[in-house]
Amino acid sequence: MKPDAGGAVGIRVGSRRQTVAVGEALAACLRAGDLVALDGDLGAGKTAMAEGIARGLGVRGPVASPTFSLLHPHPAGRPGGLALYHADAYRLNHPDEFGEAGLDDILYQGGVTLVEWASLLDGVLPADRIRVDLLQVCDDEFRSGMPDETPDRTGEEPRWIRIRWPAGREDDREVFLSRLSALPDGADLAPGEAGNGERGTP
Amino acid sequence: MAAGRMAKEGGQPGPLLVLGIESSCDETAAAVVSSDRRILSNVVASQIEEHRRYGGVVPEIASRRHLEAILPVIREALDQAGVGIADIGLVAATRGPGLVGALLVGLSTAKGLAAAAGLPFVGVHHIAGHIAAARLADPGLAPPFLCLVASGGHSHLVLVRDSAAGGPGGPIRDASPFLVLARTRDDAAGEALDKIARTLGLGYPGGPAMERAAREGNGDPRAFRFPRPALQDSLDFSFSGLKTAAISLLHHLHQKGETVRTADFAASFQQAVVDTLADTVLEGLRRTGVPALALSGGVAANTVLRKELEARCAAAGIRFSVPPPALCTDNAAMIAMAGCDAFLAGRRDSLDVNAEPAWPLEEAWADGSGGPDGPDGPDGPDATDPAAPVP
Repeated sequence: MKPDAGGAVGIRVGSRRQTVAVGEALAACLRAGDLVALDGDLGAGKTAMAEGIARGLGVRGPVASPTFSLLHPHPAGRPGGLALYHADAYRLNHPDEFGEAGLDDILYQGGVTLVEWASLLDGVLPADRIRVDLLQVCDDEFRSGMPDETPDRTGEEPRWIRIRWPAGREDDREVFLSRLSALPDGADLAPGEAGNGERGTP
Repeated sequence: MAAGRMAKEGGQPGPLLVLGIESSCDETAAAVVSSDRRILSNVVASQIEEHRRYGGVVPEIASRRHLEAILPVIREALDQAGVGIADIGLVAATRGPGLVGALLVGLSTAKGLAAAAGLPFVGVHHIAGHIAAARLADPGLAPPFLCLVASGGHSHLVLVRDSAAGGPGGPIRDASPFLVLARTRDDAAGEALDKIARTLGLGYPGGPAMERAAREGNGDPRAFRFPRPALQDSLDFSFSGLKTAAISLLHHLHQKGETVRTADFAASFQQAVVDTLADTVLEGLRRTGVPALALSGGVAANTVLRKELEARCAAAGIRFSVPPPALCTDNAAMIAMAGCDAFLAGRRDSLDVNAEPAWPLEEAWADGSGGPDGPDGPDGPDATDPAAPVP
């Protein structure tokens, strides 16, 4: 099922590998200056999603968790490519520390900024962002329209990924969906229409 | 400046005194170390300021806090060493990796001091600092050796070679004495310990809290079975699968209404992290054939890890050394020592070098010819020969 024009895209993945693949597909529709806000509990696959986005952008080298160092800057991996600023708010005690640590500068460097635990920075991050939520348990609201079968038999536990684009980025969602269907296990990753998680918000 | 440098390098008798400065992450630190490996002072802001207004567990992430602390910390380091800036022969500071705002505070201060006092300056890689800590604490430790640098932010297994003499692992392709055999693909070891400690409600910092919970509760390290994650294709570490397994086990046990004995869970998880590190280190020793291992970084303070590596090294006839905790966690004595070694190997940095927030260790070598803009790009050569599987 395709999402409607204002809806979020929901994907059920069966392994870390598939989370990485979804991240790669998402990277295909990222532009200079984009902010990707990544949320999900410990172990939900945030760093795996970051790894996929980095691969998709063509960034080289390992993509590890930036929890302790707060920021891993990855220079563009190819001419004309985008740099990736991979930040993490887990260790911050207050949203203001994002700016105090100088992390807000990365939003204006012409690359892609990815922030793990972005919900801890509500009110500080620009509203104009791509929101990616990783859920280990599919809540009822998120479940509507989601495919039921676990697509991968690796023995890993499934995850539900919800992606929401800001207004005016409908074309990017289409690019993402076509990239997703082009993946080797694209049929398994057929997206559903996910509840957008914010009642009263279009 | 040139005249001062010549004088210091030339005829001055006695050991060289090095002022080291570190501000790459949470700590603002300064130290004075001599070229004959004596620590004259080793000052860390969070320790001296405990009773002052910056105390507590708030990480010193803000550049502003580094800025407030840097001059008092340098003053304290010189005072404790009983020397003045006129006695110093070299200034060394962490150049990367780290937060650019934080790095700039220490780096700019160091360059300013070097310019004003006419002293040579060397920019140091933070992990090269951790490796130097091992040699600072154990003067008998000489290349080639492996160093496991394990902390909240890093899990690196590094082959340290004598860049002049070459070493195991084939000819040295560049002048770098460092070859990273393994690094983490996701979470650092200290990060996995910290996050599971928080999930267990053990408080912060999590690593020491987990060790305490396991020890004081006489936890059984075999009470819970955790995977010992090993990648098929390389020596690299991966702790996120282990972390996820632990979280999901806790979740299932709670759902079934079972009580989890925290000490057992902590002991089992800690043992899984320790085994994973130790297995990789031993495999790295086997593949490279080097006769010595050093352990450094904040996780080196973990007694279970120290004992495990000590025992396995003893059984394998490997020389093992681990610095005292004050040299394992972030400090400036290690930066001074690394800067001193680089300086004595001929390294001089110009005062216009910049902070390098994403500096690959392989590109931070003693002759100063390399840099982040080198031909191999930001991630350096894919020099993993000794990490390749050996039949």
